[in-house]
Amino acid sequence: MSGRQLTLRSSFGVLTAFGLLLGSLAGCGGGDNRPARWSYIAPAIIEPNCATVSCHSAVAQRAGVILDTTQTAYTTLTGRHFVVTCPDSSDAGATCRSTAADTSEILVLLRGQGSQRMPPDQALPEVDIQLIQTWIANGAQNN
Amino acid sequence: MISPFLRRASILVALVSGGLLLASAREARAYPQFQFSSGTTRCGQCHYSPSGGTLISSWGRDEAGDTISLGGDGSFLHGLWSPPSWLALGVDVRLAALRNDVGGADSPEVAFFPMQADLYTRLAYDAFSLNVTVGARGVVRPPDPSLGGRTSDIGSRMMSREHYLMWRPSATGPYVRIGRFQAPYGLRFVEHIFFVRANTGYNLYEETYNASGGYVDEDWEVHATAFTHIPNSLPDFLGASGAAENGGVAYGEKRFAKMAAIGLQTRIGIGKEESRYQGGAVGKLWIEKARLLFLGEADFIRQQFPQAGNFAQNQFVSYTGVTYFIRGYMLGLAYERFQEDLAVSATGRNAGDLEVSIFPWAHFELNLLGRYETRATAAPNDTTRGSLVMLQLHYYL
Repeated sequence: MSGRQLTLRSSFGVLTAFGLLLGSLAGCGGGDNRPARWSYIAPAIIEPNCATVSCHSAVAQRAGVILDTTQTAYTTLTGRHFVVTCPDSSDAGATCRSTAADTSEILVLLRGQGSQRMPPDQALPEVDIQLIQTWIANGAQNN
Repeated sequence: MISPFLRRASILVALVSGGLLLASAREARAYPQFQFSSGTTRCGQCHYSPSGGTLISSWGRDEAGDTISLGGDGSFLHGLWSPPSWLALGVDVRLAALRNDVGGADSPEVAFFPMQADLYTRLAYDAFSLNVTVGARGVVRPPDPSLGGRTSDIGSRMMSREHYLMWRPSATGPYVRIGRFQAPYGLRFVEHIFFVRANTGYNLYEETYNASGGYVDEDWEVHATAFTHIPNSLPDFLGASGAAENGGVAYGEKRFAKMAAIGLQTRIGIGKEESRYQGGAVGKLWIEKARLLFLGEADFIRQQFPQAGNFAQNQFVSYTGVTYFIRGYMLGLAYERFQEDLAVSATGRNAGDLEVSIFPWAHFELNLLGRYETRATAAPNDTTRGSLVMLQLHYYL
């Protein structure tokens, strides 16, 4: 057997193993224990999906919305009422929290309900949207 | 001998592409599909960058005319004028039409837009060169002024995503470069929507400022880069997107019998909001008899969030594809996987790609990309799939 044939077989073997590894990882995972905190949601979900260069980056600032840092994104989303914030405690806070998710426009946009979906190129997984919904229902704190 | 018609057409195309340069841009990088399949084994043979991408060299121009396209002269300006040896120029222009369907009230979306218009310049003196790319940031959807935000006039969209000084005494051997460019890592596809680009720190305009060095041999190459993110305080012309991380990247590739390669890569990016520790592998195999090139990449990413109680998640991103290549035509099939958190199965996304490229004449490419994506959803009346069909006319000068 020539060295060239051996190389071909070895390379094929490596690539097959590579493919099997990819396939075995396709269904990994279980329950969602990720923190419903802004300090996770912003850098893990919002910034990589929304603050791309031609959208809500500091460069493009689409619709005046800048989402490229945790603090800027929080200020923008709450200041523009995409996210309804509620006080920590008090009866008024509890009442507010019970309806905040229904009245926060960000969830309508992320689910494409009655408007263009955001992000427009690729929908977010529902578990990510649910995590944002939980954070809003908890008062949408800058935590 | 160039016919008068071709000469006029070339000049017209050059003028049009120059005009489009003032219209819009998106990024062009390398075509890893051409490694081995075109008879060239190193990316740095066809590109001035030692790791491939952006401005093509005279070797790459010859390959474009003699190996990749069905005919024509791949030289600058179709051979009408040759720049002096100290100067290299290039232009990339892409016009695109797309149909994008992600569900939602406004889907499907149909758009036609100038996707890329970049001008590349390389000034060389002895072993040193200054490499600069200037173009206009692309805009698929014109902004609605009633919503506020910035306008998208051409002046505000002009950006330089690459400008670096390089010492490279010969095509093989050591090199050093400093400035802004994309640090060598992974397969380095031209399609920035591919998961292995978009989720590893290499999305559009995520080029960092780097100090980089490496060694390129016929059968192997290594590249090591220290990088720092681009602050928002810089003018828009030098602007960027992406995570505010500082760190290092390394990529090494070993090639076998001019038909296969295995690469290993690692990237560490440390930031205030999050840090990423990632590593992965690349595999390439060219089967000459079948004219098939297999390409694969897989990366694991550990992402930590210091401000969220130091919560950490593990990510996985991969690309597995095969390309059939004969002169003038390229047909590709690929499967992609991205899982945002390996502990949460519903954060996974899959994509299948079908890509057809036709190179009817040197400098021209017609590309059709079909992409079908799936993701998990629990919301009633929502969709689990998305699709994209995009047609591109690509011209390079």
